[in-house]
Amino acid sequence: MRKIKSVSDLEKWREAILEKEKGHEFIISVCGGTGCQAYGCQKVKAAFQKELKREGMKEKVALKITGCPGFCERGPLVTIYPQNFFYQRVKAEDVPLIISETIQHGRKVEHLLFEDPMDHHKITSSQEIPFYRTQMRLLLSHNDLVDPTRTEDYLAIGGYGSLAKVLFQMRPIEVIEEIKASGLRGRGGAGYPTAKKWESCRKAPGETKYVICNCDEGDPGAFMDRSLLEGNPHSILEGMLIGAYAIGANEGFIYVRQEYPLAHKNAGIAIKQARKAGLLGKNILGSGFDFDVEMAKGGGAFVCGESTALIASIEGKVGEPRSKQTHTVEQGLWGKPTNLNNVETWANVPLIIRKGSKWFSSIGTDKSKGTKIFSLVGKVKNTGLVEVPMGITLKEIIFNIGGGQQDGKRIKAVQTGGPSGGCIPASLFDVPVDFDSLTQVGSIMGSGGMIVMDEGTCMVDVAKYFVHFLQEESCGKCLPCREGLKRMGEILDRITEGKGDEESLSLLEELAEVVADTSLCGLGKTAPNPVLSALRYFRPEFEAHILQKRCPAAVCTPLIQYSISETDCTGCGACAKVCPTQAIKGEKKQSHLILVEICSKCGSCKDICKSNAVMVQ
Amino acid sequence: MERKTVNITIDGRSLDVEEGNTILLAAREFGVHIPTLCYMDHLSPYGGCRICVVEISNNGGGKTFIDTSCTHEVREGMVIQTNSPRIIRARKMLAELLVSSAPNVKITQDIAARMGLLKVRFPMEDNRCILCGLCIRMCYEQMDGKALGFVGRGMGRKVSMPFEVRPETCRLCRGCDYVCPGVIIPCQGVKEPGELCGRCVRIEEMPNCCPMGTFGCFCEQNPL
Repeated sequence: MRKIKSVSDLEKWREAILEKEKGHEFIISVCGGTGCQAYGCQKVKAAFQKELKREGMKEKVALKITGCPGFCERGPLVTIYPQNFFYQRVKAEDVPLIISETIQHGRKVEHLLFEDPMDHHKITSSQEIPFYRTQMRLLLSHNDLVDPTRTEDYLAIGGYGSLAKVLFQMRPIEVIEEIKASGLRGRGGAGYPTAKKWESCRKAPGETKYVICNCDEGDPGAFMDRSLLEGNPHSILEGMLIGAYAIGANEGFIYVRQEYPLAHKNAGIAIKQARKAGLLGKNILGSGFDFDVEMAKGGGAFVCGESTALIASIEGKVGEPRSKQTHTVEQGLWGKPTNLNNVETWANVPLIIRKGSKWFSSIGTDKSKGTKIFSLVGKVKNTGLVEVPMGITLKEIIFNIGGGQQDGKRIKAVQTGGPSGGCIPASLFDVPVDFDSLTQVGSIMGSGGMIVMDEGTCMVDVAKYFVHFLQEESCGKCLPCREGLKRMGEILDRITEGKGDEESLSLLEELAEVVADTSLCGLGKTAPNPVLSALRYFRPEFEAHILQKRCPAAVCTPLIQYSISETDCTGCGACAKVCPTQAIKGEKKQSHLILVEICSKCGSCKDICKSNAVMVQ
Repeated sequence: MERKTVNITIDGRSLDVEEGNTILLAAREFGVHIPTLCYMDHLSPYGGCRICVVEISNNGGGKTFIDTSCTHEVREGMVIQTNSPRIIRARKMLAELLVSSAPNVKITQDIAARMGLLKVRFPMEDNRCILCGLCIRMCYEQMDGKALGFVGRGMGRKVSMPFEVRPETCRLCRGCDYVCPGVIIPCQGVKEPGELCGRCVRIEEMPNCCPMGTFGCFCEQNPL
């Protein structure tokens, strides 16, 4: 690693890297994201290494372990450049075949290509896959080109060019003006204009100022920030450098939760390399600007995603929020002006500087600019990370990118914004995805979780799940959040057990509104959203639980009953074999019967029955 | 030295109050009652019980928000409502949550009575600690003991000593005991489960000037 002392040094280094890369005829990029690691990509990587060594092609072929390209469901993912062959569900056994067919003869390996679920034809490149086709991948597109542990890879795609531009061609005020013109809003959830935050922090009196990158993503089912920090940590560092320059800060922190070891590791490596290269530290690129970043590890408390709690956590105190009349931009970390932005916000910054605010503001809607990454999960065919321009409709995301319903059950709602968000019913799927429209329908953009639910999901159960999640994660400092959520959980428990009465709903609503009104921090203020939105759009489901003691989605076990249809049962006996409580009786080839008193309602019989004879009511 | 003042409006009255004061202090100075629980003079405001919430508008416009008066500082032109319907509803619910979790702590009964609460819709529990944090702040800020703190999160939160062992810094001054609202013997008024007697508030001439909002309970059975 060389030490860069000026912009010309940086450009020389970049040229040298590009020159060296020309020597490689092929690039094999293996996804090393957390999802693909779980699928066993390390074995695939080892197999590639072994095979390349055996064939003596190490010079000709570059093997990269990259960040997450997003299509986690189909992992481990391998892309071969320059042909742009996209292989999915690759196993170590497939590696020799890829080497002999694709690398040596330039042919595709048919069985590893993605198959269109509609017409069953094979798709070669990722761009043609329906999952990727509708996306606009500004931030994620680099994830499969960059090895996060190599600064050289980031430089090869033009990295740190924006930093050089900012340090030598722009004054701090101009940087803020540029971000303001771009219309970038905070990606952490609330959508506060980034430039406005920077400006207030710049104007706040004080010599010492801090910038913080918030990677304490804790929403169930969300992994956007993690993938960005794991896959392209240098882009976050560059964003923070630019922000720090604009604000006048010389120190920064990246706050990563404990549960993200890979993000922690990759960001740590990136910081070390950047320091070595002189991109962090004193007198960066000879501009006289000093900046350094430290890692801070969170203990995994959801509430530490809240700015004041996060700051308390970095200070070494208990991660609890405080009253926020004085904003953190005036009094934050150790009482000094502190600018805190989400990972995705920081990642957008170098992009805006490189391509200009005009280009950025041409994407998206009137008030929400740029793209947003969502983690699309739940009952859709394709799950993973999707990056879409703001203003795209929910329908397009769920049906075009997500591929629609999974197995014959109609999609009925989507939950956006995690535990602070709400459920949006299918009738509102034409709503454009931007900060203000989502707030209008009772949900929020949040950090970008998107959970699709179908007819097999009980909305009362969903509301109950989120309330219990938040009840566990509440810090317990303020009464409405600690006691109120507990009581809301109790009421929902009673409803799902069939013990709810007509007063339950009005009490639940009243309680939810007071909790939202009086809680101390964002966690409590938004905690009732899942309940309130479920009540707003799916009240009949709640009423069915209370008045008819029935769960329409057949999820709440105390309210459902399993039975076997006499006409459909073939008497194969498979159900009786799997029943853990021996509740199924019947002679071979005769219709079987479930003894209701013994039945534990586990659903194993329904899963195993081939003739669909087990019914739930 | 003349002190700087700002003009604010509390419940329709225009007042000049000292800059830097919290809304609670300003209100008390002018005799406006705001009930409190986790607040105590000379201890830092905590903002945990939320009983002292008020409705605030920064410029008198239509957009209002709710915050605790014990932590919110006055600003020029602020318009504050201490007993709007939204506030009364919120306080009543908070009192209900509080009294249902710790019905045998006198202050929770007092606050419930003061809010006019006669029925509790949640199952009663019997917590003795209301997690107001007064003992911790007393120990830390006034006695320099640093012997107490909160441990645990959410429902598992409790007041404890480091590793549950009394540290050397604790001098057994009993400052914690002195401020704890949980050690006062509660009202023993006749109650069905879930019912509050509320007899004290049925007295017509309940004065509205008790600054602490902990106006005593007049039940005959009350041993205090």
